[in-house]
Amino acid sequence: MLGSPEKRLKDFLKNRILVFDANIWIHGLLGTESISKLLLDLCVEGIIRVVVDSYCVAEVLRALFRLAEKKRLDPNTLQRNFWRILNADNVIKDFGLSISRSLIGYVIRKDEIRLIARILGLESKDVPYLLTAFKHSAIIITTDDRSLYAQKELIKKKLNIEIMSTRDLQK
Amino acid sequence: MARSITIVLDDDTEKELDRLMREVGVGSVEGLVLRLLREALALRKISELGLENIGEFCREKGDPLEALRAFREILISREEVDSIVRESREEVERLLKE
Repeated sequence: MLGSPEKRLKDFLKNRILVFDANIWIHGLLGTESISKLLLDLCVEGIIRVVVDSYCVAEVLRALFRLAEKKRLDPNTLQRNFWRILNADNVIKDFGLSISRSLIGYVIRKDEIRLIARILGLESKDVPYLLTAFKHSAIIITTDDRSLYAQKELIKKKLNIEIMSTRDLQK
Repeated sequence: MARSITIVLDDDTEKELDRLMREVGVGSVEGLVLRLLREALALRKISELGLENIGEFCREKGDPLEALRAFREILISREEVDSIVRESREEVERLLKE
């Protein structure tokens, strides 16, 4: 393909809805991994549409709190800045209810989530991403160490959900 | 061991309870109590993770570009971030496993 990596990625992802896993969010926010950084740039510039659910937000917030502890930063400032990004027009917040009640919903539905995980050979923590992608016909962008990526062919076949890693996007 | 409890309600509270059950969409008082109990247990797990105030800042508006710029000013290595993400992911996973 011709053009800069940014242009190629932009063209490829245009008009699609994406689900980022927590790794992509954190590396993208902090700029510590090139493709994640580019994806977050495109998201913040309003070029791509991203959907988040309460579970993903909880994972990212928990990581931000840990980051604040390690780097002696104000956790509220990190949280505020994260929400400023989530409240951009092109970020779809799929909470249904308030975020805390939505997260409680995930915890309460743990048996269903474990069942889906077992059927598809996934870790439970990856199922919420799958549910969000299914609901929004979205592509999941993940790191290749997650169980979601290992089962991407099975998921594509059974649910028609595409799963890509940052490495795939570099190709 | 399963536990059974009896709660005596006055007439007014019983009417309110009937209304609440209709609104919430549960067919029995037992169902309502179980649902509330499960929500309370879930809330405790969320609180254990330090996420009890998860909704506090959710209406925060502002320039997303500026917010991203502020994140990028934090100097941290990829390895450190990997370890933070791994630890926090495992913590949140406990919510679903326990």
